[in-house]
Amino acid sequence: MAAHTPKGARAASLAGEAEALRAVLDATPEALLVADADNRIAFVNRRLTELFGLSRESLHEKGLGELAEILAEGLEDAEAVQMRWTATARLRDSVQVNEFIYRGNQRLHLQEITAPVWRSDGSLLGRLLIFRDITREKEIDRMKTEFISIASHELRTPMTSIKGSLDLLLGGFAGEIVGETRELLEIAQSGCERLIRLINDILDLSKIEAGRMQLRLQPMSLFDSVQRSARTIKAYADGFQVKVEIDAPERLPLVWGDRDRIDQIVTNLLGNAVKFSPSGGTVRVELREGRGIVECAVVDRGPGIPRDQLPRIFGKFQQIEGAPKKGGTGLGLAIAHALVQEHKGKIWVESQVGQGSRFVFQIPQAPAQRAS
Amino acid sequence: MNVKKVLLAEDEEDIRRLAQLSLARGGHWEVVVAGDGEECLNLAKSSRPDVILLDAKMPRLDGFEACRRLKADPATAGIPVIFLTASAQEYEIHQGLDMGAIGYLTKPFDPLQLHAQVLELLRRAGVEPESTE
Repeated sequence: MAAHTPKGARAASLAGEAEALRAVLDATPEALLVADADNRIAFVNRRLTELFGLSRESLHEKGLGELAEILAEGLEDAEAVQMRWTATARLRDSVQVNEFIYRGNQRLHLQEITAPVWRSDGSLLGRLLIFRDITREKEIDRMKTEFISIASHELRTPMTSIKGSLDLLLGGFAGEIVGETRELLEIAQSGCERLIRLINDILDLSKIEAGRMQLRLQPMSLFDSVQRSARTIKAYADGFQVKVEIDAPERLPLVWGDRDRIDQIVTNLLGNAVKFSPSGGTVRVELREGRGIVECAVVDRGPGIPRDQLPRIFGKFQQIEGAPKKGGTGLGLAIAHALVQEHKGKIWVESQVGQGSRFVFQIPQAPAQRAS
Repeated sequence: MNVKKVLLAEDEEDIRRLAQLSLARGGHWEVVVAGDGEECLNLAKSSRPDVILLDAKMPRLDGFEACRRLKADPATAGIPVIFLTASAQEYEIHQGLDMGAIGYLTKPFDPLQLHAQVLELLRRAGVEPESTE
C-alpha cells in the first residue's frame, strides 16, 4: 500500500511507471502529440518523430503553431493547418476529426483526431492529437468507388440496347406485335426491368456501405411520401389484387428526410408487403407521431416470418426458408434498413406466422419543429 | 426555336442506332451522329445542330470535356447540350450540369419517351421549342 512505501521507493516506482508509459506510447503505431493548456508541445511519441522526420529535441516546448510552420513546406494547405493548430489547445469541446495532406518523402493522407485531456480535478491539462496515416484507406476507397462506377456503367450500356429495342418493338415501332410473339417479348422486357432494378439496388447499397450516400435532408411530409409510394406501387399491387390503405391522423409533424430516399424506403416496404399478401387482401399503412419522431408501419396479412428468421430479414438476398419465390431483387429490405439508419431513424419488424407482418420505421422530426 | 437537327455523340453503335431511330421517329428530326468527343466538336461547328445529346464516356475526348469545350467556344456555346449517359452517379450528374449542360438523362432510357424528354428539358431551360410535328 502506498502509505507504507518508503518515499524513495515510491519515487522510483513513479519514475518506472512513467518510463513504462512512455515505452507503451512509443510502441503505439499511431503518431501521438500532447499539447499543454498553453498550446506548447509537452509530449510526442516515436511514431510522430518518424512521421514528420523531426527529433524530439527539436520539438521540445515548441508551440503547436510553430510545428505547423516547421512542416509548412510539406503541407498541402499549410495556412488552414496552422490556423487550426494555433487554436487547438483553447478548444474545450470534445473530439474533433480533420484530414490533411503532408508531403515528406512521400505524399501522405493523414487523419488528425484531437481530444481534450482533463485532470482528475476537472481542469484542462491540454489536448491530445493523434495522427493516422489513412493514405491506403483513401486509395482503396477510391478504387472501390471507381469499380462500382465502371461496373454500373458497363452493365447499363448493354441493358440500354436490349431494353430499348424491346420497348421500341412492343411500342409498335416495327409493326403490330400480337399473340405469343408479344407475350415472349414482354417476358424479355420484364426480365430486363428486373435486371436494371438489381443494378440500381446494388449501386445504392454499395454507396450506403461506402458512406457515400449523400442525403439531401429537408423538412418533408411522411404522409405525402406514403401517398406517392402508394401511387407508384398501385399497378404492381393491382397485379396481385391487393389494395393499399393509408391510416393517418389529420396533422403530423414534418420529418427531416431526403424525399427520394424516404419514398424509396416506403416503396420497398410496400412492395414487400404487397408481394406476400394473399390475393384480395389489403396492406395497411399506419402513420403516427411519437416523441421527436414520426412513425410509419406497413402491415400485411401475409404468411408471417418465423421467429428464428427475424434477425436476418434485413440482410442482403434473404428469403424466408420454405416460402415461395416471389421475384424481386432480394435487396429491398436491406436498402430500406440502411436508408432508415442513414436518416438516424429506427426500423424493425413484428411478425407472427399465419397472422402477417408489421414493418415499422421512425424518422426524426424536422429540427425547427422539435424546437417549437 | 424549331428543333430540326439533333447531334448525337455516342461511341456504342447499338445505342447510337437505337437513339437515332427513337429521335427520328418521335420528332421527325434529322439526327447527325458522332462516334467520339472530337468528332462531336467538329460536327457541332459544321452542321449547326439545334441540340446536342452527349454520352459521357467516349474515346479520344470524353463527354464532360467535350461539353466544356463546346461551352468555351463562342461558335458553339449557344447550342443546348443534354447528357445521355450510363454514368449515373450523383457526382457525375453534378459534373455534367456544372459543365453547362441543360439536362442529364441516364441510361437505360425509354426510346418511346426520349423525344418528349428532350423537348421538356429544352422548355425548362427556356429554349422554347416550337412544335416539330
